[in-house]
Amino acid sequence: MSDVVLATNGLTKRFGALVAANSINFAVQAGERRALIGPNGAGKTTFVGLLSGTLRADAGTISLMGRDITRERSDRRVKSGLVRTFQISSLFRSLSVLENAYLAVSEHLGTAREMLRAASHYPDVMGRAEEVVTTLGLSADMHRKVSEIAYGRQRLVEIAIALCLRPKVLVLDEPAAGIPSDHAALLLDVINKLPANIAILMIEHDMQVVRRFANRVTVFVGGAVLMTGTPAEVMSNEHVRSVYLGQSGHDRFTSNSFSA
Amino acid sequence: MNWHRVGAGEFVYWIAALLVFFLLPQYLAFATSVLVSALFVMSLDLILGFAGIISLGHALYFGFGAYATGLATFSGWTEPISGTLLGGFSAAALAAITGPLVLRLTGLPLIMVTLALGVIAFEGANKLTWLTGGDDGLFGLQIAPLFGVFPWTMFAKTSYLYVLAWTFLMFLLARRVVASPFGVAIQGIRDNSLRMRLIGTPVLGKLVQVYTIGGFIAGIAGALSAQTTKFVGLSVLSLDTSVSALVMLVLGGVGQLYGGLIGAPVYMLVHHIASQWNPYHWMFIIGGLLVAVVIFARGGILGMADAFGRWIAQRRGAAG
Repeated sequence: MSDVVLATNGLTKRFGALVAANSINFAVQAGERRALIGPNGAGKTTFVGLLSGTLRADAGTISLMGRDITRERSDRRVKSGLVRTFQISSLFRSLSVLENAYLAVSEHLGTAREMLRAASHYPDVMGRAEEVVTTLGLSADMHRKVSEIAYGRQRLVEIAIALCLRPKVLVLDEPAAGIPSDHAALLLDVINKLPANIAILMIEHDMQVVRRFANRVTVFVGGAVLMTGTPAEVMSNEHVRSVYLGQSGHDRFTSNSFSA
Repeated sequence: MNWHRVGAGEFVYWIAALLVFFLLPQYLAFATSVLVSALFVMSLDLILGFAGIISLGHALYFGFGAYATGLATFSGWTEPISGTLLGGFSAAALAAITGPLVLRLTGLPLIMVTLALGVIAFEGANKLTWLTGGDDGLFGLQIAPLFGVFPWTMFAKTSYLYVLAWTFLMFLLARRVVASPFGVAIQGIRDNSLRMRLIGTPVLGKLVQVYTIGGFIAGIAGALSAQTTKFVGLSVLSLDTSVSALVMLVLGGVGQLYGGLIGAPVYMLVHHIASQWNPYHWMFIIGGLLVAVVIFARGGILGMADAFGRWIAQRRGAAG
């Protein structure tokens, strides 16, 4: 458990005068379950954007399995095994659930460049897409358009797409945001059953979810890492408590969630 | 998955196209020009309807194909099939060169740049009189008989069947492409290009590929236009050609390949009939039709047909 799969060194991003990521040093090991928490505007989403390559770093480096990927295009990073999901579902809305999964598998296996045979004539791609969709309990909606299924189910499609890409590092941006709590529990079950060798980073506000999911927690405040530790260490830390208390005026650790 | 389902309506379409040859011999020249437009609009549908590339300058590839074939024919390359292919490949090469520059853009900038390229090509062809004949164009193209046997007469029998064959072949090619894994990927780019990048797709590369195929088919259509009218004029590169194709596509239905194949005949027939009624104000009719389709039938004529089919099925269900 000592191989670092993803690391950043002095990673910095500025938007004008605002320093959204301030010299972040961060490391995740293979198979780790890491939660990223912090108040709104703490720079979590910026950090994920830098990791996935949708934002360019102003300074610092990112390395994936020992290789520097700081200047690599986002599609190349995915090919190397760094995959993210989105807080607000970012799906192929006019396509069916199965087609959404198909796209990801087809890209991962390299068949997406084939032009002259029908897409349904690639049994390995179809099979893998169906398998992932079924694993996530989506088989009933397999042939329905994504835009027509319930939002909670769309959140699962988000994860299905990511799994089809066989990630080594999976970044989940608030996977349970905006869905009813029974669906959220199902979603968390799915996440907890993911292969143990994948390192998972999850941005999450709900401390109960964090407790169930994470073995380590990193706290972001003001574009920088405040601390990293076990869930218990983080929750008992005075500094962390004061950041949240200062923000909302009552002790969020007694309620379920850090944020409203 | 139903990406390549063959419907009964498809047989009807191609059989009807074949029947035109036997039943309406006096209209074959007109019908040939309709098919050329239909093929051109289908190439626009491939890039716009499936890949989401909104272009106001698609005539660039139609015109480039037409001039390439016209000039080759002028300089003695009169064999028709290789002549048509030359137009297609020339336009494809142009699309492969312009694509990487243009397709980095999206939305309004993309529309403006495609428009600008189209206008530049038009003015370029206008100025290069020594090459293109300028305003007069290239006229009196002499094409060798098809297979060395079938002459190109003014009754357009050879022309019609030749263009119909090309249209059908290009349709098969386009349908293959959109039903393939690549085709699903370009539809993914149309839906959500950021997410496509984040599943590892080289988005620009894929767009350039489909743009090149679209350019190829547009070039074939342009070449057929040159060969069957024995003339290449500046209008093949005009903004009007690009815009009419867009109107035909919206009329027929975007993103279904048949949109162009249906929209072009409807547009050209309405144009034909309306301009007999009033040669100056036919655009009123076309404009009214377009407004009606956009407001009442978002899926174009094909969308209307679908809705009608569902309505009939429902009524039957209710009655039974």
